[in-house]
Amino acid sequence: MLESVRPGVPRLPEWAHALIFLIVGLLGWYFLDDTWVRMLFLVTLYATLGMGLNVVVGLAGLLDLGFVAFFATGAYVVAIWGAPISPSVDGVVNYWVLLPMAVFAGAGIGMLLGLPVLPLRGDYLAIVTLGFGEIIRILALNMDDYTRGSSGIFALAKPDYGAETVDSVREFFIMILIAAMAVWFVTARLRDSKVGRAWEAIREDEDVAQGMGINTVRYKLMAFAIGASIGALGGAIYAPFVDFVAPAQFSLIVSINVLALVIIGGMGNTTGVIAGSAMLIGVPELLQFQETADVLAKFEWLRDGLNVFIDGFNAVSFADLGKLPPSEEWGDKLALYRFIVFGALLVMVMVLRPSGLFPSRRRELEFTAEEPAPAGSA
Amino acid sequence: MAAGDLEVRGLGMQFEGLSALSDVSLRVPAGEIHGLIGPNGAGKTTLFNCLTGFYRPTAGGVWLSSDRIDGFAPHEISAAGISRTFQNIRLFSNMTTIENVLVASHRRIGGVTGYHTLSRRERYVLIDKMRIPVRVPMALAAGLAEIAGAIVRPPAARRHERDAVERGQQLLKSAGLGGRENVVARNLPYGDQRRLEIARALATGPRLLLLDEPTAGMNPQESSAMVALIRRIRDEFDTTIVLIEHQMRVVMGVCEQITVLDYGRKISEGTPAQVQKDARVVEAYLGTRALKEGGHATP
Repeated sequence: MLESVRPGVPRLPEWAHALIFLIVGLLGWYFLDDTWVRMLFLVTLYATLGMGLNVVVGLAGLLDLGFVAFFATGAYVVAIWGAPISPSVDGVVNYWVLLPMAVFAGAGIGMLLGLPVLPLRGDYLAIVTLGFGEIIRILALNMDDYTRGSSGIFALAKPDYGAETVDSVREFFIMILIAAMAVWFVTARLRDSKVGRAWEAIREDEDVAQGMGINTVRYKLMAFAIGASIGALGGAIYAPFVDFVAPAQFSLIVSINVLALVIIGGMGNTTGVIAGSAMLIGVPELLQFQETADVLAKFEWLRDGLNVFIDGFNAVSFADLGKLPPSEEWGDKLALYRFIVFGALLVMVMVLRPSGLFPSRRRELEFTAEEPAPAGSA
Repeated sequence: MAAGDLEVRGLGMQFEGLSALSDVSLRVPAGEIHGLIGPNGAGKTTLFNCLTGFYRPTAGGVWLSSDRIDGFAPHEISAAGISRTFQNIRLFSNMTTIENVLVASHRRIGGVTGYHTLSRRERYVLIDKMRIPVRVPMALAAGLAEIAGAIVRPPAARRHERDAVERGQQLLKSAGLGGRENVVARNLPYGDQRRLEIARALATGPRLLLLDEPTAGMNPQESSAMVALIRRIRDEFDTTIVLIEHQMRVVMGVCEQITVLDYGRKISEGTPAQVQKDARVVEAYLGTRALKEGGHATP
C-alpha cells in the first residue's frame, strides 16, 4: 500500500511535483473549454486554501475547524472596499491595494482568534475554532451597514493589468495558479526553516517544545497568522471571480471541505493537498459534465451484459430491480446521484490509503511499523 | 554566586490542599554532580518541574547564577540556562535525531533581529523595561522579520543553519549517536533514546542540566556507560548536573553531593557516605538491608 516509502525507491523532488501541477494546469487552460477551466479554478483555489490550513493543522498540529472565517475575511475586505455598492465605503480602492490588505487583515484576524485559544488543545481547540467560523458568518449576516447582510455585495472592482481587467474565467484561473505557486513556495520554505521545525516540535509535544526553548505562544500565533493570511488570499481572489459576496457562501461546509481535502490528500504534504482538492472539489464537478455523459454514452454495448446480471440478481434474490436505461441517460443519472458515487469514492480512498493519497514522509512513518535501525547504521 | 550555581530557597508547591513540596532549600555549586533521591512520590520530579517552569512554585524562590528565575515560562528558563530530560522519554518521536537536537538549539540559531546576540542578562533587562504598547509591535515586527527570513533565506540564515547542523552533529557524536542523524527518533533503541534526550537537552546550551532517572530501565552495562557519559558531559560542556536516580550504585558512584526528599521535604543532605549513614534516610526510605547491600533501593 505504501510502496513509495520503501528505501531505494526514488521519489520526485517537490519542485518537480509543482512543475507537473503547473504544466497540467496550463495544458488544461489552453485546451479545455470554460466549464473545465472553472472546475480547475475551484480545484486550485481549494488547493491554495488547503496549503494554508496545512500549516495550521499539518505542521503545527492545531486542529482548526473555522478556516472559512479567514476565507470570508479576505472576500469581504475586497468587497467592502472594492465595490461601489458597498454601503460603508465611498469610492473604490484598486484591487492590487486590496489584495495585500486582505492578506494582512487575514493575518490579524488569525492572531485575534489565536490569542484566546492558546491554552486549548485538540478537541477543545476544534470546537472553539468551529464557533469562530460561525461567528464571522453571523457577523457578516447582521452587520448590514457594512456587508449589506444576506443581500450581499456584488459588482466588485476587478483586478486590472495594463489597460485590461481580469474578468474571464481563464484569466482568473491564471491568477489563482500564480497564487497557488507562490503559496506553495512560501509554505515549503517555512516548513524547511527553523520556524517549521518549531511548529513540528509543538505538534509532537508542546510542553517539551517549550521546555527546549521554543516560545510556543509566538509560534502558534505565527501558524495561525500564516494559515489565515493564505485563507484570506484565497477569499480575495474568489470574491471578484464570483463577483458576489454574501454570508451564505461562508458556511461551515467550506471549513469541512478544506480540512477533508487536507486529510484525504495526505496531511502535511502539498502534493497531497492538490490531489485531495482534485478529488474532493474536482470529482463532483466532473461527474456532472456533459463530457462525462458523452463518454458513458459510448458504453451502450455494456448495457445488455449488465442487464443479464441484473436479471440473475433478481432471480436469486427475489428483488425486482429495473433494467438499465439506454446509455445516453447514464450521464444524467450519474449527475443526479453524484454525491452517492462521490461518498463511495471517499470511503474507498480512506480504506485503501488510510494515510492519504500522497502522505508526507512523517505520516508514512506514523503508519508503518518500522524495525528499529540496527546499531551503528546511518 | 558563580555562573552555573543553583540556589533553591524555601521552595513550596501546593496542589489544592496537597502539599507536594514544602520548604525545600538546596545549593548546588557550579560544576557539581548532585543527586536527588527519595522514595516514589517524594516530590523529586515535582522539584524538577518547578525548576524548569513547568510548574509555578507557590512559595520560595529559585536562583541560577544569582538571577532569580522562578515564575518564568519554560522557554525563558531554558534561555536562562536550565535544561532537562524526562523520566518517561519524551522525544519529538516523528522527527529525526538531528531535528530533535536542532529544535532545542532553536534559540541559538541566529535570527535577523540581532536579539540573540544580547547576553541573557541584557535580554531580561530589555524585556522587563518594555511595556505592552512597545512589546506587541516589537514582537509583531520580529515575527514578520523571522517569516521573511525563512522565505527569502538570506546567506546569513543559511550559514546559521549550517553551523547549527554542524554543532548538532558534534553533540550527537559526543552522546554516542554519531552517524545516526537521519534516524527517526522513535525507531531508536531505548538506550539511544535516553542518550538523544540528553543530547537534545545539551543543545539548548545549559549551565544546569537536570536528568530525571537517566538509567531507568537499563541493565548494569548500559548504566555504567550512562554514568561515564554523565561525567564526560560535566567535564566537556562545563555544566552543573542534578540527577534523580533510583539505582543506588549509580547515585553513590557518580554524585558528589546528595539531597534526600521524603513527602515533599528535605530530610537529609551531604556526601554519599554521609547520607548513607544518616539514620533519618535509612528509617524513612532506603531500608537497612538495601542500603548495606548497595542494591536497587526502590521499594
